[in-house]
Amino acid sequence: MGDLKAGPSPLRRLTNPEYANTVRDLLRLPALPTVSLPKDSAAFGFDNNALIQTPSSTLVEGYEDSATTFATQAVANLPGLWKCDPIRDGEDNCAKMFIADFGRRTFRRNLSPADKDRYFAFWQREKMAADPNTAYQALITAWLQSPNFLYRVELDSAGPVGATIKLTGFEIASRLSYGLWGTMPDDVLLAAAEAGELATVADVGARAETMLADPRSRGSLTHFFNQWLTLAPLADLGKDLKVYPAFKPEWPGLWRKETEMFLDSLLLGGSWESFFTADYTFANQQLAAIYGISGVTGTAFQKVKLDGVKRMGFLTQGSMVAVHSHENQTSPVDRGKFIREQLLCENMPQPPNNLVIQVPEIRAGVTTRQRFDEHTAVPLCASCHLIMDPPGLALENLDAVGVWRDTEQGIAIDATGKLIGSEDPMVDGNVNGPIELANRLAASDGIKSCAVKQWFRYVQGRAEDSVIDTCSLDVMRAQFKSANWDIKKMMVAITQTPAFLNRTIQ
Amino acid sequence: MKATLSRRTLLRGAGGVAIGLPFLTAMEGRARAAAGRQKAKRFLTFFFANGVNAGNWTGTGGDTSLTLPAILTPMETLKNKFVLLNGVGMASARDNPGNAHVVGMTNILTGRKFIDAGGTFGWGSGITLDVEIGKQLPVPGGFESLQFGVQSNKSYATKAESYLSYSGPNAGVPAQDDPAVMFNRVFGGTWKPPVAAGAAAPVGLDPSVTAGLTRRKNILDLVKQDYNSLITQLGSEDKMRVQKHLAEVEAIQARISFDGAGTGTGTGTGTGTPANCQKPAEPTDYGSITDKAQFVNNLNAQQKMLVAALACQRTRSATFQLSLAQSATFHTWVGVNEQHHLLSHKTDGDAQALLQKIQTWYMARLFDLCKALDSVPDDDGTLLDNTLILVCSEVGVGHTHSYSDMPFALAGGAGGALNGGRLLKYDNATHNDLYTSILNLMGIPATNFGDTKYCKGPLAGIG
Repeated sequence: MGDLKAGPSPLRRLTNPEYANTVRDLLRLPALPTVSLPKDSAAFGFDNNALIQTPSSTLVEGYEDSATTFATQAVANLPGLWKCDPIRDGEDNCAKMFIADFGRRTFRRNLSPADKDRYFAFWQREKMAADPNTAYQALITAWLQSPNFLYRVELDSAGPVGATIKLTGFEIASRLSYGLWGTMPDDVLLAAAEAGELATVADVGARAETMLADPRSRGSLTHFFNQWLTLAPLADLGKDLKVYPAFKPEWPGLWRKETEMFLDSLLLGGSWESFFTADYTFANQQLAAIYGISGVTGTAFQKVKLDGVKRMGFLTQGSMVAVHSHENQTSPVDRGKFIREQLLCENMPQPPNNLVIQVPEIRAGVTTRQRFDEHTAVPLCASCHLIMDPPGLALENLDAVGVWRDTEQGIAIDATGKLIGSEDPMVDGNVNGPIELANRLAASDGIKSCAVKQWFRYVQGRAEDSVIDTCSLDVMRAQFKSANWDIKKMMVAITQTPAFLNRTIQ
Repeated sequence: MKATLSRRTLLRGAGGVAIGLPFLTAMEGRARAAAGRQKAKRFLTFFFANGVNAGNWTGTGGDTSLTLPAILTPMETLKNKFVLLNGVGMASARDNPGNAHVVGMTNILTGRKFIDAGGTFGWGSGITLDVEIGKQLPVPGGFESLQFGVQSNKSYATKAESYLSYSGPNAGVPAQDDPAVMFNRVFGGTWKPPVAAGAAAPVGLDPSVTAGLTRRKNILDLVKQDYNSLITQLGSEDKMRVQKHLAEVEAIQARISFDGAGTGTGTGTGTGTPANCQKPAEPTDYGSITDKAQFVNNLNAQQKMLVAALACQRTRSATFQLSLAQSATFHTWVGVNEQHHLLSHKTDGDAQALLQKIQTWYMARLFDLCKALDSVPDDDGTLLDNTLILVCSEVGVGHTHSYSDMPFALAGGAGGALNGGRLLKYDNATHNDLYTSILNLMGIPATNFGDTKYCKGPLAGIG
């Protein structure tokens, strides 16, 4: 592969959702098991970043507890996990077959002969101390705590330190399955890996396309969007009922449902620009009433046409404007910061830490814009807030619970905003109101390059390296563009990059 | 008439399963004699969020007297076991741009600037004081350190606001918020309260329990082989993480070998009086650990676990983390219906009065904790006498995020090393130097802690 550079490939531990999915699939459980482990930590936007995966004592104790529980369940269903008749085939042979077959699924690769011998010796000893099933249970308990199960080990091929080498079929299979499905490779994928059917770039791309079309990709994609678009706060979003008496605790759930269905529709094809400019959303009667849309009845969500005057795309959904608001007022700062950091991938400078961050209190006769203008008058604050606040101010017609308003404190809303400092002529400029803001962002290069980066971070479990990964990001962007900004094609495109297909030996 | 049961019958339990009792070996007795009157010191960090109002931590007095500021009046009757610190700041945090509460939280026990994690966030960049002390004062069969939280976790993606403790760079140690989980972790399994020498004959384990334990140890042996084999094939950063994983597997194995097999005493390093170790009742009725209205019930249940864990020397170092940095707790039980962090930025008289109520309430919790520790006899004094408590918050003044005069204080006697009833005033001292002093008070030789850039040596006049 010549001078190819893959960027770092840190050893990745399964995240809690990946762990639960993998246990379900490995043990062929009918439903997702309940797992009690300390929460995953997040860095650079995602909870699968290898940088912050150092295990704590609680986590390792939790793995032992879980392994014990799940091994007990597994041994109650041994015939469902592998077929062998101890009388016909011999007890020891059955154990050897179990170690080879179930071990392969547990480790997501073939076991070495030495490992097989070691595990067989363990099984024999435990069988002598108790009985065959107890020995199987003990072996499964150990395997569920093994680094070969808990970590995504990529060591099957070796080379000198600094060399960039191609990953093996099994390693590619795991990258595909965890990246796109959030779980272990299924039997089909393992067989493909073993048969050398993941050897070429085209093989891997075709496989990725199939996998993304499979419903099993849904959980992983939802987890990706939840983090990228900061939808998690919808879980316990509350509002000040003195200011928003109409607000109901179920509203955040409606917003989530709307956004999830909206994203599903975008994943069916079409341009990612419609994330900003789509002239439709999904609503039931209750949500449509919040949005002031007439003609929607019933509790079922349906596709609803938007007027393109007040509402359009994600920026005008409750998941955006209500999440990035305070409990009692909108937050142009939060909204602008979200656009800058999450949608444009711009690094806001760290605020001076002695800064007194005080949300201006609501005062009669003074608009949010006027109150926030006061703090941008302070030079120390202005440097960042002149970049952050103006895009947020363009959304001032949408209040902290997603309702359209023409006035605030009896004063007409001024929804003029400005994008500056992005070095992208398509981004920078004046806007007035959410529609102009959405159109300007949709046309920009920034939101497309940012989508690429966010997906890269999620699938690779690390932030991009600004030098080494340029090539990989360019590949993704080019394929995104030639697919007319079809987001799913971009998601496939990561599997075509040097970063995905290779590993640099550390 | 009640039948009188022999101690052995009681220990045997209703199911007829004999329960092993670790006992103080002759070896341990000798070790204790050799160490003279060295006491089993415990360390505890008491954390409350969002700092204090300007001026609320300023006491009067000196090396022989102490007049407490208003929010500390709950400590009045225990002030002879309390040292108020003024003028100790967090210099590392001042050099660390970012979200002020996250900066404070990641700097407070590390004494270092954070590692950038994108946006305005970062993770702690080194081992924290509590974990370091736990490492230095290991308890055979016990935990290196224990982190007790009260609603310290967010309901979704956990970020650095929740983490007080770190075992190393980027290696957060989460606090456990659930008292029942903590109970099972610390007092469950095969662990039994130790007894003093001569109090009872050791009782063997039931064969089925022994077989299960042996199997568990064998399983962990196999797991360890896998980690050891992988470690040899990894680059340095990966290796560090996997080595930590292996170390935790080994810690479990050490613990179960100690607790279950009756090979040890469960009394720690052979000092202290195990007779005062009472297994606490399994906590119930403390409400949901995510229900903001149950904060007080959560706290009370956790405190019982914490005090018992220290009394029984399940660890020598613990944290008691009340909420998280930039806490959004609603302290409705003191009549405050506004969330803590938003309120902490209001400077009008009404808001400051409400904040004062909150801060006073936390200091009353500190008093409760000290009182509970003081009621447990330990060695020739009380558990409080043998404990050193560090009181801290992630920012100094809530309103300004100032790090220059942090609400630090010390409570307890550190096994006779610390005299209370004093105000110690410093001129812009660093918390790094305070922690060096704390290490020394704990009997651990040290000349610096955290980023050495902020270290000048232990604080004068503290011991």
